[in-house]
Amino acid sequence: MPQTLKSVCGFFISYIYIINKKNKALNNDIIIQVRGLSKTVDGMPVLSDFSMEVFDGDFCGIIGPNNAGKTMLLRVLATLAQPDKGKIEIFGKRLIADRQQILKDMGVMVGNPVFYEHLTVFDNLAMYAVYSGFEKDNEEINRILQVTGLQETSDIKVKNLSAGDRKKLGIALAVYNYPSLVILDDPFTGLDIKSVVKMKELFKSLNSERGTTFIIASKQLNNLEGLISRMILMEDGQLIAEGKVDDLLGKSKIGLILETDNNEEAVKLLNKNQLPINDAVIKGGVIRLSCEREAIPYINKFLFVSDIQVYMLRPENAIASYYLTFTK
Amino acid sequence: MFFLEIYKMFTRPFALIALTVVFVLILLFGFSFAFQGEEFFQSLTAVFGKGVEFEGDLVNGNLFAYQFLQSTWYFIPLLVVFVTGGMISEEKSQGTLKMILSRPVSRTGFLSAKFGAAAVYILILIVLIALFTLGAGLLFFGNGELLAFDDGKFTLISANRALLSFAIAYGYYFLVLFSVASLSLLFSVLFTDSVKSIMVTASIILALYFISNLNIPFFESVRPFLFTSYFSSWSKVFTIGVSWMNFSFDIILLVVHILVFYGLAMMFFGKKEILD
Repeated sequence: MPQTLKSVCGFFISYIYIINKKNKALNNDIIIQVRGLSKTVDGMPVLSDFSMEVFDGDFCGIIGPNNAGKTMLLRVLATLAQPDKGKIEIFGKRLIADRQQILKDMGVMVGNPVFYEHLTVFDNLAMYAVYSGFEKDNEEINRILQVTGLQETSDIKVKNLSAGDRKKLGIALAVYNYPSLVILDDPFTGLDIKSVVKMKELFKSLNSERGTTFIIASKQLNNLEGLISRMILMEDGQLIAEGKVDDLLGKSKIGLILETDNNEEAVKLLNKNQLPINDAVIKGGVIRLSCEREAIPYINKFLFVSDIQVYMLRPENAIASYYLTFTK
Repeated sequence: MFFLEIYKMFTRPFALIALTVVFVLILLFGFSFAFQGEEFFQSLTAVFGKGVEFEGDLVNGNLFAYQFLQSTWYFIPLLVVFVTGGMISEEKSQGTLKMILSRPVSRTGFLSAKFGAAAVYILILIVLIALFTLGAGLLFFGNGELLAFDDGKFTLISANRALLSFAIAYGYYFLVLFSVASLSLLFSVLFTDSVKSIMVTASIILALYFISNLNIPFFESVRPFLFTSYFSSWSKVFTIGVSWMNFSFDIILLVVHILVFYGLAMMFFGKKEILD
């Protein structure tokens, strides 16, 4: 074989090898792959040709208004509802065919968590642990009660629990025994501020220390701020945007709130100047404007050199602002 | 999972209430038999007139257990409907089914565990009846020959044969009650409201039972296909010259009904969506 032909063959073989390796690596990273998912309930489309991908270690927020199809999407992923059309793979396995295997490594809380009212918090966890295929493990139950702040309620019957504690118990069950994938539907609703902070810390630590992939559907966008790394925006059962939070927010203008020692003067200066901002206005005793993310340091610097003291400068709920630019 | 379902079964208030009702019935029946057993026996044998005399004590534990079965066999299936009718629909309406099915639980395994728990409950119910009617009856009212009566026919059977007949009758009674529970579980899968599932099952059983026992030629052709037609076949074992062939056929028919109800329940449960 001539040398040139050998080199060309060698090049092609290496190319095919690299491409295969790259594809394999990419596919391995994908935890959830949904393609063309459609679901109707009583003739009404709830999900229409919906596609998404979630990668290993993602902290994914599913965002959308009421009736966007968020909960139905989670129900389908939890195999509580069957899709009319579409292909779903979780951990590289077909969802319907390998349901049990998939659910073994998945913690789910869809809708309001419900427990056996006449049993204690501890017994409920023990019972659902058995349903999840685990042996009753007192140590793990106590650990999970500790991290979710339920240790005091361990011996209390569920019928005597507050709505917030029930929600915490639902979360405790979802993260029981460190599943690789946790799916939570509106986990912050009904929780007090302290509990919200505690739960967010728990999710963050599981995500960063154990690499747990999270999918959280929520209407409370402020609670997702700083938590999620990936966003899936839904409306009317359809995907309207999907991607990394930084990428998506970086491309859009974000709302900014400023408080200075002289708001009137600051607004005048900001609007007169050539800074890439939309009209700054005073609303509710603070200055509100929208700008590119990159412009924020320049605004701060500009006000400083203009001899205006900035007491506060913070972005408005960035996810909410971004979401509102997409929705009707 | 099977033991979990049994545990859940016995923590349901209605399951315990039903067992208590049966126990209280046995007690009341026992008291009335203890104080008015002779009068009862006389009224029972009044058809023979004064010319017939019975030797030995026929007012005994065997008669007590037999009489209890005769008086309650149509009522106990309704109790079973009340207990089993809510086994799945209640979990659905309360939301615990959603929690369970989002765990790695096989739907077939879960439903089979429910059927298993119902079977264990019925078994306990029958053991309770056997212990407190036959066991306690023999202890308090003594052993002896049994004067069995069915459809106007009287059969006098020996004490040993009576014991064997009771064992077979209780086994058959288990199948009857389990077929009722299977139908009940099928409707429990279909309905979210447990009251609805209980009412529908009870109505169907009563209607079928009515058709099975109505002496109208119009229903004669459908009667062999109704499982309620075989509910009272247990009494066949208390007759002389039992046709075991016929009795086995009754057993097979009940088993077929159980399998059909189980299969249908499995089919519907496998496709069941939890959208609440």
